[in-house]
Parts: sequence; structure tokens; C-alpha cells
Amino acid sequence: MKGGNNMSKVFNYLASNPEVVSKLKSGEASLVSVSKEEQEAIVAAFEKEDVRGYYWRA
Amino acid sequence: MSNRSLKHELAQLIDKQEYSHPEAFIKSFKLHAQAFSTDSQYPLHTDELASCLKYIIISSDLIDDIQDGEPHIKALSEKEFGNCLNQSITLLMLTLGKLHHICNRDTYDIIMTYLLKAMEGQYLDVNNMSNTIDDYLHMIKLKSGSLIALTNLLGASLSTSEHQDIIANYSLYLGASAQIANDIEDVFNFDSKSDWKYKRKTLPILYMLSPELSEAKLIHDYYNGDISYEQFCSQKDDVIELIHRLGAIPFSKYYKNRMDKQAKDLINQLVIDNDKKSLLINKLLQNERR
Repeated sequence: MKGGNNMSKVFNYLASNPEVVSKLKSGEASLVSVSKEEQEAIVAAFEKEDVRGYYWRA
Repeated sequence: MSNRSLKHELAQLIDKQEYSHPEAFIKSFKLHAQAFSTDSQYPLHTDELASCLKYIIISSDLIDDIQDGEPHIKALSEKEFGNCLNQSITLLMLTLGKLHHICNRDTYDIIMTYLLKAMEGQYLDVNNMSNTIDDYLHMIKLKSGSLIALTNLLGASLSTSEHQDIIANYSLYLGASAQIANDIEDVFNFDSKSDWKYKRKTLPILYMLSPELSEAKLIHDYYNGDISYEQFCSQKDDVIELIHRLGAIPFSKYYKNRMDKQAKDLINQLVIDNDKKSLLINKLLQNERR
């Protein structure tokens, strides 16, 4: 899977193939042309943590 | 200003804070006053400046709500709307007048510079001028980041005139991160917020509008004007399912995390005590802020 500038393609692909996200997380797969740090950032975005605002939150 | 009823209305606006929450800005301001001070106590004028900052945020939030046509603004009569607009401008002018008296020229220039940048960001936002991710990031740094830069620079200015470029830059990233978090929350709101209604192109929506996301035809059709807002809202459950299934939230979180990382890297570049850097990072970027 090629990353590069087209991040929306990467996320669309991974969202449709959640098993690939698991493999990326466990190190069984990797994204072509994507640095290790970038790949970790992509995988981290699929974590089910709450996203909350700070400055504009009640 | 001599008119008693206008004074009373402004006092109510400040006290009520129904649609504005300046608390986090005040905390961030005080955090910067503390982090850049060599003294353990807050410098002189801290409380006075904090009050001015609060009024700037309240008036900016009100202007933002007016521009966005928020429901509580839509519900106003013509006369009430006029009064609301007048209150926001009057409060901002009074506050800037006060700041002109208590700040030195450099600090006042900072306030004016970042307020103007915030207004420029509002202009780009209101006119839906973000068609790419880069446009969008530029717009939210101006619109949201500038107010945070103003806040944090004002706090630091109480103790030092150094580090301004780094403080301004990480504040722009913090603002972008906060705005993305808001956009993620708002993409599920079809009732009281206007992102969908006004066809705003927030980050999750820009993602769904990517040409390669042909499965998001419903959203593409609505933004192309092929279906009405009412038709679109009647399929709200389908829209929410598409948002989840096509990965709009991880995509947006990826950019939010990137903004956080850029901010953290910049804070680490500050030439200040490590415990003060940790204080800034912990308060601004980690769980302590929640």
C-alpha cells in the first residue's frame, strides 16, 4: 500500500480493511513508502480513544 | 461609555457566559505567565490582563456565533440581533481601549496582530475557502490558533519578551488541534450546529468529499446541490454510518495528532528549565488538561 501525499487513499483503504490495521500494529505488515514514525502515527489514529477539544470546551 | 442599559447588557453578557467558555484560555494565559516567570508569584497586572483576555474571548465567540448563524442567534428578533452585534463590538472596543492603557506598545501590537489574523481566518471560514487539507490547516491556524497565540504570548509577555516565535508557532498548532477536535464532535451533529447546513468543509467533511471516496455519494450529492438539506438530513443515519465506515474519524485524528506533535516538538525547543517545559506539555497536551 503506497502512502505518499494521498493520505485519504491510505485511510480509506485501512478503514475498509481493519485486519490490515491490526497487522500494522503487530508488525506483520507495513505500508510501502511510509516511514516507521509515520506508520505509527497512522495506526495510532485508529485507536478508540476519545477526542476532546480543550480551548473551546465547556 | 455612559449608557447604563448598555453597560447592564454587557455585564449580563460577561456574567452569563452561556455560549462562551473562556476558562481554558485564562488557564493557558496563567500557565504561560507562570512558566516564563523567574518569580514564584504571578507578575503585576496578571488579573487585569486575564479579565481583558476573558472579554476578548467572549466577544470573539459571539462574533463567531453571529457569523455561523448558530441557533441561539437565529432565534433572535431583528432588534435583539442588532443589540447582540452591538454588544460584541462594544465589548471588544472597550477591552482594546483598556489594554492600550495597561500594555506596552509591543504587547499591544501582539494583541492587534493576532486578533486581525483570527478575523482573517474567520473570513476564510465563513466564505468556505478551504478546498484542500492544506487550505483547511492554514485557515484553522489563523482562525483558532491566533486566539491561542494571543493568549499565550500575552501570558508570557508579563515576564519576558523572549521566545515569542516559538510560543506563537506552537500555539497555532494547539489551536489547529483544538479545532480539529471540535470538527470531529460537530460532524455528528445535524441539529444545533451548522457545519452540514452551511456546507462547511471541515476536516472530516473534506475527507468524505475526496474524489476517491465514491461510496460517500450521498455527501457528494448534497455538496454538489443535487439534494436538499432536508433530504440529506432525512438520511442522517446513513451519513453517520458512512463517516464511521470510511474512516473519516481516524483520518481527522491523524491530523490532530500531527498538530499535537508539532506543538510538543516546538515546546521542547524552548530554552527554559526542563520542569517548565514539562509543565507546558503536561498541561497543554496531555490528560491533565481534561
